[in-house]
Amino acid sequence: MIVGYQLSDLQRETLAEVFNIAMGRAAKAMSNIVNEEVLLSIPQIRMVPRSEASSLLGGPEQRVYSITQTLDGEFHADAILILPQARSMDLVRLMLGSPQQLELVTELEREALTEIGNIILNACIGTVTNLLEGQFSISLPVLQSGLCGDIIESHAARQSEEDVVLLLQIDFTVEKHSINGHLAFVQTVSSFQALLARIDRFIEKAAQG
Amino acid sequence: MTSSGPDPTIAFNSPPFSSLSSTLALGLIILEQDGRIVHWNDWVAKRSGIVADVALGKSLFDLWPETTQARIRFAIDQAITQGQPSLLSSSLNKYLLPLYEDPFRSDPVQIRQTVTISSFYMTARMCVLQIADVSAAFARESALRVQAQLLNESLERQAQIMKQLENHNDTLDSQVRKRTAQLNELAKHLQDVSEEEKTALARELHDDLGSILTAARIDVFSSAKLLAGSHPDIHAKLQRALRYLEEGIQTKRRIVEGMRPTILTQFGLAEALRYTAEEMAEVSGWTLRLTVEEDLPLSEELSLTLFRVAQEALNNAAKYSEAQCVEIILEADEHTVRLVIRDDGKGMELDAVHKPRSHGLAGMRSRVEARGGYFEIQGAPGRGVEISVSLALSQAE
Repeated sequence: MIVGYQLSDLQRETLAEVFNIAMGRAAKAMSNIVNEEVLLSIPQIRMVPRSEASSLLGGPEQRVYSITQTLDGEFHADAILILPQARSMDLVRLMLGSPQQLELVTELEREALTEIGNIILNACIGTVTNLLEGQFSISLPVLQSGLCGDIIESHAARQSEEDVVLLLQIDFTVEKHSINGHLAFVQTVSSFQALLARIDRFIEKAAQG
Repeated sequence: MTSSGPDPTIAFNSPPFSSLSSTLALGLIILEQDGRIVHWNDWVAKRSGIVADVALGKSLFDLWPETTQARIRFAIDQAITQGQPSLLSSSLNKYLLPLYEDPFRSDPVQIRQTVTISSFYMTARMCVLQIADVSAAFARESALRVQAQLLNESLERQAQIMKQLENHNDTLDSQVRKRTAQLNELAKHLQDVSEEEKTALARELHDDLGSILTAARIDVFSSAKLLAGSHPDIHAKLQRALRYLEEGIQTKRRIVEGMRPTILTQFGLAEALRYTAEEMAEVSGWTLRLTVEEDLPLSEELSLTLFRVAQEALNNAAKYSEAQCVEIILEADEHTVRLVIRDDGKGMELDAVHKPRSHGLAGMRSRVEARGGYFEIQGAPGRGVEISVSLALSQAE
C-alpha cells in the first residue's frame, strides 16, 4: 500500500456529496435528451493503486467499453468511464428507442454511448476542476472496447511515479434497466495529494460558511 | 483577458487559416466567449445558406434562435466557461443545427450530424464547433435495420408455417390413429359376427341336416336289408343311395369341422395345432418341428384367432412353399402369447404381401390387428417364410 493517499471519512463523504450533485445534473441533462427518466448515483468512492483497480472492476478479463477524457494542466489525469459490455448497449438502445435490434453494434450506437459517457465524465471532471480551481485543458471523449485490465493498463499517468485511482461506482438506470459502471480517475500520487489538500480547504470553507 | 494579442476575427478569416479551413470536409465554427461568430467555414456556409460575411460578428444564438434552448447551447456554455468538451451524437440529438444538403430547395433535407464542441485559448477562451455529416452512416444503418426487420419477419413467418405444418401433421396423425382404431374395431366385430354365423350354421348342419341324413340312412339301410333277397336290383340301387348318403354325412362333418373346429373347443389350441399340422405334414411330406406350450390361459376368441392364423399359414405353405421342414412355435410369457410358423421353402418377395393373391395374408394381419396384436411376415426368395404373431393375453376390451 502506498502511504498518504487514503481518504478520511470526512473527505470521502464530501466527495460523495459533490459528485452526487454533479450526477444529478448529468442525469437531468440525459433525461432531457431521451425523454425518459434517467437516474445516476455514486454509492461508493474508493482510492486504490492502479494495479488493484481492474480486479475491483469485475476482473481484468471482463469485456468493457471505456470512454476516456484526459485532463492536462496543473497535473495530468485520465478520467475513464468503464461500463460492462454485456449490458451497456442494451441501455444505449433503450435510450435511442431503436425499433429493430441488430446483432452488431453500429457506428452510431457507439457514438451515442460516447456522448452518454461524455455527459457523465464532464459532470465528474467539472466537480474535480471546480475543487482544484485550476485551469485545465480537457480532451474530447474517446471510446474503446476491450478487456478491463488492458484498458486500465493503457492509462498509466506517468511512468516514473506510482499511479493511484480514485474509483467511483456509478449506478445508471433508464426505465427499469440499470447497470453498474465505474468512473476511474487515474492520476499520480502527487496530483492526488493536491486534490486532497483542495478537499480539505473546501471542507474548511464550508465549515466557516 | 481580452486585450493584447491578435484580433480573432482577422486571424481566422485571412490566410493561411482561412484557406486551410475552406478545404476541410467538415463544418468549422469558432465562437468568442460571448457566442459571437469569428469563423464560419465554406462547408457551413454552403449547407446553412448563410455566407460568412452575414454570419461573422453575429451571435450564434441570434443567427439560429432554435439553438437557444437546446442541448447545444448548454454544451457551448460548458466549453466556454469550464473548458469541458462535448460530443453531440447524431442519434441522441435528432436535429442539431439547421444545415441542409441543399438549403435553397423548397423542401430542404436536413443533414444528420455529429457535433463536437471544444475550447482553446487565444486571447480568451474560444469555442470551436466541428460538424460532421453522418447522413450516409444514418442511411446505411436504417437500411440495415430494414433488412434485419425483413429477415426477422421472414424467419417468424417461416416458424409460423412450420408450426402450422406440425399442427396439421398432428391432426392428420391423430385422425389416422382414430380411423385405424375404428377399422380394427369393425374388423374384429365382423370376424366375431362371421364366427358366430359359422357356429350357428354348423349347429344347424349338425343338428338338423345331420339328423335328417342319419335318419334317411337308417331307413334306407333297413329297406335295403328287407329287399336284399326279393329285389336284388332295388337292393343294389339302395346300396348306392347308402353310399351317397354316407358321402353326404362325411361332407357335412367336414364342413361343420371347418366352420367350428371341435378339436379346438374340446382339446385346446395346442392339441388342435398339433393335430392340424400333423395332418398337413403327412399330405405334404414335411418334417415337422413343434414347440408348443400346453394349457395356456387363452380365451376362446384368442385361441380361435391363433388357430385361424396357423391354418392359413399352413395352407399357404402347403400350396406354395415346396418346403421340406415346417416349424411351429407357440409360447407365452406373463402378458403375451406368441405364435411362429416358419418354413424352409422357396420363400416369397415381400412385395407380394400387397398383391391381390395375398388375401390370405391380409386376412391374417387384419385378424391379429383387430385384436390389438402384432403381425409380422418375413421372407425372401429361397429363404422360406416366417410368420410371427404376438397377442396380449388379457384382451383390453
